[in-house]
Amino acid sequence: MVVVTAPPQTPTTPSDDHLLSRFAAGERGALEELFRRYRGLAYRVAYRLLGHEADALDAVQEGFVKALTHLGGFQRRCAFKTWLLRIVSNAALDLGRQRGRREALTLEAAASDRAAPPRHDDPGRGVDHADLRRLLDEALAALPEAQRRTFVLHVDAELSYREVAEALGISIGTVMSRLFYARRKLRGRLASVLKL
Amino acid sequence: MTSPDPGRRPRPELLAAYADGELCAAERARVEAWLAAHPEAAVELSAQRRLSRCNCRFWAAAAPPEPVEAAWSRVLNRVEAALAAPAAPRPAAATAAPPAARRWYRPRGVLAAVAAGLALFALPVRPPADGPTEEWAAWAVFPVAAPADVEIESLRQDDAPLLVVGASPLTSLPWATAAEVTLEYLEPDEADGMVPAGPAAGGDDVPMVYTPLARRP
Repeated sequence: MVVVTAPPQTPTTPSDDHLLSRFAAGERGALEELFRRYRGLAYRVAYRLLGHEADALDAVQEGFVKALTHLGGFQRRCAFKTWLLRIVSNAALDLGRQRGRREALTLEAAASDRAAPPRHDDPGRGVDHADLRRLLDEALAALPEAQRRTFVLHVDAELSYREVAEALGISIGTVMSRLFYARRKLRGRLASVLKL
Repeated sequence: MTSPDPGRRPRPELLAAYADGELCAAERARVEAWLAAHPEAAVELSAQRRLSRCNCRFWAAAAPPEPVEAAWSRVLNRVEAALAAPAAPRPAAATAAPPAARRWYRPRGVLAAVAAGLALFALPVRPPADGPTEEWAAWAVFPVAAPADVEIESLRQDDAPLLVVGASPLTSLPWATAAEVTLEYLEPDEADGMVPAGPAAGGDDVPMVYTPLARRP
């Protein structure tokens, strides 16, 4: 997995709280630094939920705008990252519902692609990165929304069970259950590439 | 603390947490004891591990396309523009507080309440057995949950007849239908080991859940 987490905070790296205070004081650089810190994670979450780069960037934009215009609602019961990713995932799911037609068209295209053999061979897996990503996107799209969101927040956003539970307002047991059944379903669809 | 019982199957979802390294020492020991006695579970555990974030090679190969820096700049510029723009004036109806007597109608609040009710799967108060009365009909109705919003986490024996399926007596209340509900796992009751029966699919007498009367103002 490509690691896109925030860089480790050294004494010279301002904390999120410090950046948020500076942002609240109107400092433009604070926004830019927060954006650079979390744009990658936010994008990965949105992409996995939408399967489309431009839509994912729209969801990232919407998520940052909503998070920063509603900072008053951020009670600091969890990390800013957790709170932001919750909002981004909400934005992505809302966008996905609004753009259902695009999804339908994409799925149709994917279905026709499936009839064709993989375009490139990879000695290790037999599929190239684009094919693998497409298979994963399709498999994730087939999951119930709650399972997909939980899975993406844990695997792609690298949130712990506790952080996912905080982000979604659910129990850790529910996180556990959703991940178990999500993987069980993904296993069926990805068996060939995972060599299960 | 009791010693792990290798003969007693742990809840299956513990395998996910075990694969992710999210269990405490006691739970980990319990799962390991059970796995040692049941090698056939290795296949399930392997699948859980291969789809965990520890499988770096797989996730790196399936990573989303990385946006170019120019795309990131455009997004940041749009975020800045949106934050700098003055908030659009809201229609008076949207900002005015709803009348106290009707406040429970607001979909977001009721959705949360309903979601909590579904998660707890215990709705103790039922409407009159002879169906909606004139009083019920006088209450405005609104969509509270789409099928995608409903997730049944567990089910007790006593609540099986109340599974959230079927048509609502209030016609504009869309619940999940029987075809949209998938029971993934029914956990046997700890006391008697009985597995609750799910609802029969189809038919005119499909059970349904009503908004608890107790939630009325």
